[in-house]
Amino acid sequence: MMSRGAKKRAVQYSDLILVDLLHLDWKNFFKRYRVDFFGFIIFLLLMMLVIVGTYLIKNIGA
Amino acid sequence: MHIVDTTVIILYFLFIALVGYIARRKVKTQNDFFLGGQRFKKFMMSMMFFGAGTNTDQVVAVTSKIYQVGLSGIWYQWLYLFISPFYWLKLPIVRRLRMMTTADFFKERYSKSLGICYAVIGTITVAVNIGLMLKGTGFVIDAISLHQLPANWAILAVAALFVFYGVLGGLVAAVWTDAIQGMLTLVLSFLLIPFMLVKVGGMSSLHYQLEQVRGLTHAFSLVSPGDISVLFIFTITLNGLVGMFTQPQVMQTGGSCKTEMDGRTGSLVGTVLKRVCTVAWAFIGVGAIYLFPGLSHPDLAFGEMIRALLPVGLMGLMVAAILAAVMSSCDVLMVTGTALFIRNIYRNIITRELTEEKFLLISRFVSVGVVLLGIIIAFLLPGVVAGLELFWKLNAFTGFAFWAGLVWKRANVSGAWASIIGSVTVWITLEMLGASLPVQMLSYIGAGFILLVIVSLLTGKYPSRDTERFYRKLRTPIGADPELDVIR
Repeated sequence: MMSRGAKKRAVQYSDLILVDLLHLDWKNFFKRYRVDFFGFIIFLLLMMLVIVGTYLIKNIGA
Repeated sequence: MHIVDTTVIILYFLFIALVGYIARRKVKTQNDFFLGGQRFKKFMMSMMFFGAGTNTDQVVAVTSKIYQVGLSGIWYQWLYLFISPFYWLKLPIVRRLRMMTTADFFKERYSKSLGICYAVIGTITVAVNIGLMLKGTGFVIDAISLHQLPANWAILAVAALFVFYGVLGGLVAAVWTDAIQGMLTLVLSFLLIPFMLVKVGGMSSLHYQLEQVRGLTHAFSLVSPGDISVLFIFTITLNGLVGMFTQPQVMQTGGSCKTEMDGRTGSLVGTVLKRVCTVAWAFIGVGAIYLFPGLSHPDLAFGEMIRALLPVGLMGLMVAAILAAVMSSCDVLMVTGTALFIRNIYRNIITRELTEEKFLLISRFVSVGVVLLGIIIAFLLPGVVAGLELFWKLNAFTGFAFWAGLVWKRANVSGAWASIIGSVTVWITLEMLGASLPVQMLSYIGAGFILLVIVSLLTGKYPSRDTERFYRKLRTPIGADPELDVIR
C-alpha cells in the first residue's frame, strides 16, 4: 500500500493554474504558474481601468 | 440611401469576396477548414478575438437596453468583463486539448453519448447566436433604410453574403476577414460619438437635459436598483464563468493560434479592444434616450442614431462596417456549427469513413444548413435582448460538466449527465413559472453543481487509459510529445 507521503509525491503538476486548481503547487506557485498568474493580474488591471475610465467619462459635464 | 453610400458598400463587398476567394486556395484539410491550420500569430489572433467576439447584435442589445434602463444596461455586454482575465488562463488549456470542437472534449473525457449530447446543444447554441446577430443587423438596416428594407429581408441578404465566402474558405476566410472587419468595427464604434456630441450640445447638455429636464436620474447610473442590480451583475458574471469553456466556438478561437503566447496575447488585446468599444456603444445608447424618445421598438435605437447623425459617405462606411462585423462573427460560428455536426453527430451516427475531399464537400453543405437554422431562429426571436439571455443560458447548462472534467478526476459520466439534465429541467420549470433571470440562473447553476458532485461521488470511479491521456495532454504543450499531438 502506498504511504501518504508517496501519494503526495505522485501528484503530477502542470504549469496551468486551472488544470491544477484542486491541488495547486503552493510551494512553487510563483515559479510554476508565473505566466498564468502575472498575465491574469495584468488582464484584471486592464479591465478595472476600463471600468474606472467609463466612470470618469460618464461624470464629464455632470 | 445616397449613391455615394451605395458605392462604398459595393466596393467593400467586392473586396471581401476577393479575400474569400484567395482564402479558399489555402484550405486543403479538415485542420485548415476548422482550425486554420493552427498557424495564426498575435495580430491575427487579436483581430480574431475582437472580430469574432464583436458584432452588431451586441451593439444593438447594449444600446437597446441602455435606451430602456440607462447606462447600467452596459452590463448586458460587460457580463464578461470580470471573467475576461480568465481568458488568459483558458487559452493554453484549449490549445493543449488538441480538439476541433467542444463536443470532442465531452467525448474524450466522458463518453461518446455525452459528446453527441453537447453537439446537439452546441449546434442549437450556434444557430441561436447566428439568429441573434442576424436579428440585430436586421433592426439596424430597417432603421437606416427608413423601413424601406424590412428587418426580415435584411436578415436574408446578410446571411447570403456571409455564407458565400465562409463556405468557400472555412476558418481561414473567417480569420482573414476578421482582421479587416475588426478594424472596421473599431471605426463603427467611435464614428458616431463626435457627431452625437455636436447634436446634443456636449456632455454637460446631455446630463442637464436627461437628469434635470426629463428627470431621468438613472440615465447615467452604472447600477439601477430595479433592473440591473448588484445581484443581477453578480449572477450574470457567475453564469458567464460557468459557461466560459462551453461556448461552441471556443476550440476554433482558442485552438487556431500558432503558440500559446500568441493565443494569450490575442485574447488580451482583442478583449480589451472589445470592452473599450462597449463604452462607446453605451454613450451612443444614452444619446438615443435624449434624441429619440418613444421609439416603437428599443432595438431600433442604434439604427436611428446612424441614420440621423452620419453624413453621406460615412453612412455607407457604417453600413459596410455593420455588415462586416456580423459576417465575420457568423462565419466563425458557421464553421463551428459545421464542425460540431460533422465530427460529433454525422461521424458518430452515420459513418466514420470520410475522405478529406468528401469531408470538405459535406462540410460546405452543412454550413448552409446551420445558417438556415439560424435564419429560422432570427425570425422566431421576439427581440435581441431576449435572444441574448437565451444564449447565456444555453452556454451554462454544460458548463459544470466541462469545468469538473478539467479540474476533478473523480467527475464521471453519470455526474455529467445528471448536471446537464438537472440544469435544463430546473431552467424549463422556472421559465414556465415566470421566475426572474437571476433566480433562474442561480437555481440551475446550483442544481448543476450539486448534482454533478453528488452523483459522481455516489457512482464511483471510471478509470480509463483515455482519461490518463486526457490529463497528460493538459500537462504537455503542443510539440513536446508527437503521440499526444495526433487529433483523433
